[in-house]
Parts: sequence; structure tokens; C-alpha cells
Amino acid sequence: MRIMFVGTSSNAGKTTIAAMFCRYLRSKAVMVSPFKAFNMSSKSFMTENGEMGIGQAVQAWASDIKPNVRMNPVLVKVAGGKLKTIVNGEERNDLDRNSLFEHALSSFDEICERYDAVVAEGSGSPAEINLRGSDIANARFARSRKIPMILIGNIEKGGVFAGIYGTWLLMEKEDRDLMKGFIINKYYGDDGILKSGIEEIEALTGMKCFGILPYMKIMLPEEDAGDGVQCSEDNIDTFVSQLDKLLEEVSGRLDLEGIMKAASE
Amino acid sequence: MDCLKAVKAEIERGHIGPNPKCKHYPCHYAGQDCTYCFCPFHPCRDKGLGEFIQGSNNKKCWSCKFCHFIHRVPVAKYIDSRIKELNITEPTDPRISELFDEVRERFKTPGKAIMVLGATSDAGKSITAAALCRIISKKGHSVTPLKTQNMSLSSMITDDGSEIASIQMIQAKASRLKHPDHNINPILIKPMRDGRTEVILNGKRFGDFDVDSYYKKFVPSEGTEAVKKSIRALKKRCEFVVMEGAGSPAEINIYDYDIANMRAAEIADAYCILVVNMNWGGAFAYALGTVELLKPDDRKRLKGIIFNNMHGDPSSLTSGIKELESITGIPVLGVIPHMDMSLPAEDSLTLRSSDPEEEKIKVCVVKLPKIVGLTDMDPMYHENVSIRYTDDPKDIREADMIVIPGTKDSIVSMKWMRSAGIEDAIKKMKGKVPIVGISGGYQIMGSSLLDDLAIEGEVSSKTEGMGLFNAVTSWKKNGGAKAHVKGVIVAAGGDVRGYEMHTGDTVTKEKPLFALSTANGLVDEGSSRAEDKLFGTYVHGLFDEPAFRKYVLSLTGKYTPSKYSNVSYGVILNETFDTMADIFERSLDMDLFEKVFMGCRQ
Repeated sequence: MRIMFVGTSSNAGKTTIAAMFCRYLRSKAVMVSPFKAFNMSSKSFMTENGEMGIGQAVQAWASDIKPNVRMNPVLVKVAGGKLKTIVNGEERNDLDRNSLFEHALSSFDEICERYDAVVAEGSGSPAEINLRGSDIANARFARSRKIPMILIGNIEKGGVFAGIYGTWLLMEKEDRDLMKGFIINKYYGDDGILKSGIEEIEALTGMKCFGILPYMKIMLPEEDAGDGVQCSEDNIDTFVSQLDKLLEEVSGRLDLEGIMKAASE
Repeated sequence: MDCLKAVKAEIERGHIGPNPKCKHYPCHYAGQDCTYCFCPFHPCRDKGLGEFIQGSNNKKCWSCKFCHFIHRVPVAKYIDSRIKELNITEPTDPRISELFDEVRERFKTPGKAIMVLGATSDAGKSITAAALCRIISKKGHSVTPLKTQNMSLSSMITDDGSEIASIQMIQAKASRLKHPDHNINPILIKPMRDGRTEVILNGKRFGDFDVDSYYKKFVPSEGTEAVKKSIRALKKRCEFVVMEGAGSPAEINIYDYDIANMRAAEIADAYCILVVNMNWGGAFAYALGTVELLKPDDRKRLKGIIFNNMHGDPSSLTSGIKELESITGIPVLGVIPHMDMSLPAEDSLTLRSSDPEEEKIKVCVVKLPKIVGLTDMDPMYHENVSIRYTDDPKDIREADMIVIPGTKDSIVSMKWMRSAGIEDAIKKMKGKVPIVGISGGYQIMGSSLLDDLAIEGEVSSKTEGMGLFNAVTSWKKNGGAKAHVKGVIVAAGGDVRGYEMHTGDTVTKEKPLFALSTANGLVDEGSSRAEDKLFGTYVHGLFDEPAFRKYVLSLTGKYTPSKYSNVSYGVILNETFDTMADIFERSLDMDLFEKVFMGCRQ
């Protein structure tokens, strides 16, 4: 089982939803691991084998496993205006985008061998057409390993239908086949109002709407902001219990079984 | 007959262009032609230009308050040249009225509408619209902003007493318009409790609606009517109408009910620009998705795209821009860099706290529920102060100055302050630091809030205030005020200018803070107890002029003037618009903009 959550923009809610889905699979007794090929962040989590992205550490805990650098093979750390590239926990500033991509693929393959399911997360938007070719984390990755994708649209600032449809339109034709559906995230109002719009997007793209999620207040460690909860093993219980609560809240609003099915294709 | 004499003198004098030395300049808009201060065609009785109003002596008179026609430079120049050619010397010459028909035929076209749409909220529509207003104004044209429907708790009062969204008033300043009225924001929606909203229509309170009744009842009837009327009025008045959409125009679930975006564009026959914020990523997708989700007829109106808020090098976008242009057939007008400046906050979601710094005066603004009057603090961002909106008593205890701002519900706010420990924290600071209450905040500072008729709240109530002032606020039917005011600081001298907008009235036993000029002479306003550093007033915009800023900041004992300390906020804002316009002009393909949006239309 493999699935990749991608977003219409940064902050769409990829990390939380992926963590929640890891938790869900775990509750079904599936051995699951998180994965994010490429992460850009000012903070990191230190494992015994080196640094990795904070989001993947939390997702690992949600999966009841230990965080491992291969879950986030490429981490670009922004510190004091300088960029530092960390590959599988080790600092490697000598690699070009293609070798980074190869490293990411082999880490992914390794994870796939060890787990029944991999819940991957894209980076930023998959439709940055000016960066085509240098993409490590999104469509190019999904294409290489035929990973089904689910697009998360943040409705908070409006324009969510445009964001979803535009992202789909800008994907290569063969990548569109991997786009199984979308989720509308951070919604405050009445679901009924969105219905006609969702139906139109489903008809235009053939993607299925897997759910409308409310704005979820959750205290996960922030990757960039200074505040937030400390990303440490001491807080595992806090993270996991929050995710369990969220899962309970969204059951009925999010078609988890449908996503599981898409992940099995 | 004096007018005829004046016109005769104007005819003899000939063309003069703008006259900034005149004390009434600009009577209509900055950059206007002043050759015919007295219009040779008055009263033209052309309802496409002016209107009959009830004069001061109750007689019908012809008003040119909103007519810019005679002040347009090419119009004035042409009239002057024709008067010379025809050898007209007397204002009573019958050929003058023939000349009017000729000039009207030649120059009178409805204003061109340009509409700024956003791919999302916070795309930068307001700033773009303001910058375009200033750019067009600097080219010597009369231009007005317009947002048909604005959802905001931040409103202001026009000089004819209409309540409209603050941001449109501010854009009117960018347009250098003298008399913005309700037409620049005919529908203002203020969020209330439980998803209900209060609708202000044509500057006056109209009623409360829930989402369903708003879209299904209000929009198709009164809403659409008001939008049409305003667009008509503004196109008649100005050469250019720079409209601003709301949210995204591609909300396909409410597309046909949306009178803030493409329906308004259609009514105004506007050419549209789509603004996309680069900051969150996915900008190309949002741009393309928006274009593709517009209905075909609406899509034809979209003539340009602007990418906004770009951090870093815009040339990294080139390949993406080319691809987007070739897919959509719509040119990208430019990429606007991230600017370290902002217009006054539009809603309470983006309260601008600035970072506290040791040497700066720490001003704490209490983050009241349903906070309003957010623009009051704007001038303070140009002083050596840090501003923090807070609901934490700890911040209050560390403040050098405390502001209790306006609120849409003083009683709820008072109770909240009490339960959150804010009231207690503020009372402990009494006498130590200046405490300023504005409008609702002033009411809260008094001894009691009497709402027998349930006007402010949902039920009749009597609430104990903070008791900082010996003052009682009560709500009565038709009480309160909405008006522009000006006056002086009683204790310290110096001007104050602003507006009042409140329900409820306050009777105080304290010394007045301001003396306001009214038709009946000077009138006391507000409460002041300088020995305890306590100040309360209904005047919004009290910090706009430098005098009151300086007066209260001095009381902190830490005041060091900034380069703007002697400058009124209007001047600061004016500079901001010029800077903004420069940045836009440098970043956009201006030839294309002028050709497509300002030139002749097919």
C-alpha cells in the first residue's frame, strides 16, 4: 500500500493528514512508515543516525515506529541564511538534484521493503512549472514509483476549487492518472454549500472528493516557526493522543477506507 | 451675478491647468484642471453630470459636487481653445450652450472600469487597486476605487455620514479624491454571532442576514440594485473606476450569486486583472485554475495577471510565466516584489503586532472580542513604539501605554475583560502609564453601561464598567453618532481630526479631552484625567494628527520622536502610495497596461 499526499500550496495540511492516515492504518494493524523525499526546514529532529524532518519523526511515532533518517532522505536546512543539505542523516553539499533524487528513490525502496504501507508526503505544490525537471519530492517521484496521489486543498483563504483544478491541469497527462482524489481542508462552514462546486471539480478531473475537513487545532511541533511543542520522544503520547482524537472527529467526514483502497491500487 | 463675473474673468484669463495654490485645491481630485473653477455651463442640468439637491435655503439647486467633467485637463483645454476660436468674450453668449453640446459629444464617455481580482483572499488586491488608483491619478485622470461588497469589521465614515469599509476610504486617498461617498462600497457586511451578518447598504444599516438569506434574498434584489447604482454613479463621475473583487472569483459553488466579482465586472463592463500571491506556493496552479473556472464570457474580461509578494529573484519564474501565458493566452503584466509596507489592516484576523524592542515604547492594545476601528493605531506604526494586540494580562503589566480600542459590542467586551483578568491588570496600571479608551473602549472605562432597551446587547442589561472614569454610557433609540469631527486637545492644545461612529452616548463628570468645532461652536468631548494618565474619547483617528500622539507618548517618560512624529498621517499615507505606485510602475509592463486597460476598448 502506497499513497502520497500533495498540496495545492504550502501549509495545506499535508503533514497532519498524513500523520492521521498513518495512525489510521496502524489502528488496522498495518505496518506503516511515513516518507517525505525532500524537506526544507529550519529545524530538524536528531536520530542516532543523524538529522531528519520533524514532520516525519512525528508521523513515525504515529505509526508506532522509531523515526529513521530514510523516512526523509533529503533534508535541506536553512540556518542563518545558509543552506545545508542532509542526505540520509549526513551532510552532503556536493550532490546535484539528480543524485539527490536517486538517493530519495533508493531510500523509498528500502522503506517499501520493510513495511506493508508507506504514507508519503509531497513538498510545497506539485505544480511549480518553473521548477519542472528539478522536482525531487512531488510528481516526478510519484511517477517513478507509480504512487497514487491525493491532493489537499486549503480552503482557508478561498480559491480552493481553482487551486485544485489548476494543480491538476498543470500535471503531466500521465501523472493525472495517479491523482486519485482530493481533500478540502480547514473549512469552517456548512458542507452543503460546497456540494455543487465539488461535483463540478469531480466531473472536470475525474478525481474523487475524499472529504471536507474542518479547521483542526492540533499541537504538533512546527517545522519553521519558533513556537509549538518540542519535537521530542517525551511528547509522543501528546502527539498520538491528539491524532487519535482528530481521527475520531473526522471519521464520517473523511473517506479513510476509500483512501486505503486508492493506496492499494 | 458674481458667478457670471467670475466666468468672464476665467474666459479672459484662459487655460491655467491645476492650481495647487488655491486654498480649495483640489475641490474634486488632485491633478484637476482649475481653469473653470466656476463652470461656464452651470447649471447644465445634465443628469449624467450633476444633480438637483435641496439647498441650504430649501430651494432646489444644481449640485456639481460629484462632477469632474469641467476639471478634466483635455476638456478644459479644448473649451479654452474653442472659446478663443469662436471669439466668445461674454458668459451670456448663446454659443456657450452650443459649445457645451459640442464638448459633451466629444468628451463625455462613461468611465472605464478596471477590476482587480484575487486568486485567494490576501492575494494583494487592495494594495494593487490602491497602487493603480495612484498611478492613474498621477497621470492626471480622475479615478475612484470601488468594492461592491466588502466583508469587514473595519469601517469608516464618509463626509456625508455614510459607513463604508476603511480600505475603500484609504484607496480613495490613493485616488486623491476629495469626496468619496457610499458608492465606493455600497455593500458592507459585518460578521456577527452564529454565522449571521449585519448588512450596511449604501452607507446605512439595512438588516441582519444569515448566509442563505443573504445570497438568496438580499443579493438578487437590493444587493444587485445597489451594485448597479453605484457603478453607474461612479462611471458617470470619473474617467476610471478601479474595482476590487472579493476573495476568489472562481468559487464555482456560489458563482451566480457572487456580486462582488464577475457579476460586478459584467455590470461595469470591466477589464480584469488577476492578482496571485506567490508567498504560499502553487501560484501557477491557482492562476490557471482561476482562469479555467471562469465562465467563457467572464474569461474574456481577464486581460492580465500579476504575481504579487515575490521573495527572491523574479527571473526564476520566467519559464513558468511563459508556459502560463501560452496556456491561457493572457499576458502576465509583471511580478511585484514583497514590500515591507502594508495598508491598514482590513480585518481582525491580521492584527499587525510589531516586534517589541527594548528601547521602544511598548503599546498594548487589548484584543477585545469584535474589535473595530483597527485603523486607529496605524499612525503609531511610524513612531518609536512597538505595538502588541494582546489578550494576556502579563503583556498589560509590562506595557508602557495601554489602548482599549473600539468594539462592536462593549458589554460583551467588558465582561470578557473582567473574566480574562485584563480589567484587573489595567486597573493596577492606573496612574503609571497612559491608558486610552477609544469609542467602545471609552465606554468600558466608565462606571456603568446601561442598555435598558437591549440595543447594544441581545437582552436588556446593566453592566458595571471599569470605573476609571466617573462616566455613564447608555443606549437609547436613535442615539449615538456617525460623523466627521475636528477640534483641539483641551489640556495641551493641538489639532485633532477624525470621526465618530458609535451607538450609545456617554455622560461624564470628568474634564473633557477634546473641544470639537460644531455648528454651535466648541463642544466638549471625551474624558481626561491627566494626573492619572487616563483618556477616553469617541473620536476614531485620534492619532492621525501628530499633537495627540505626542501628548500621550510623552506621558510614558520614554518618548523619543521619530522622523514622522511631526507629520500627520495623511501625509505619511500619501508618501506610502507614491512609493507603492513607483514599485508597481517599475514591476509592471506599463505600456501594455496603458494600452489594454486605459486606452480605447474594442
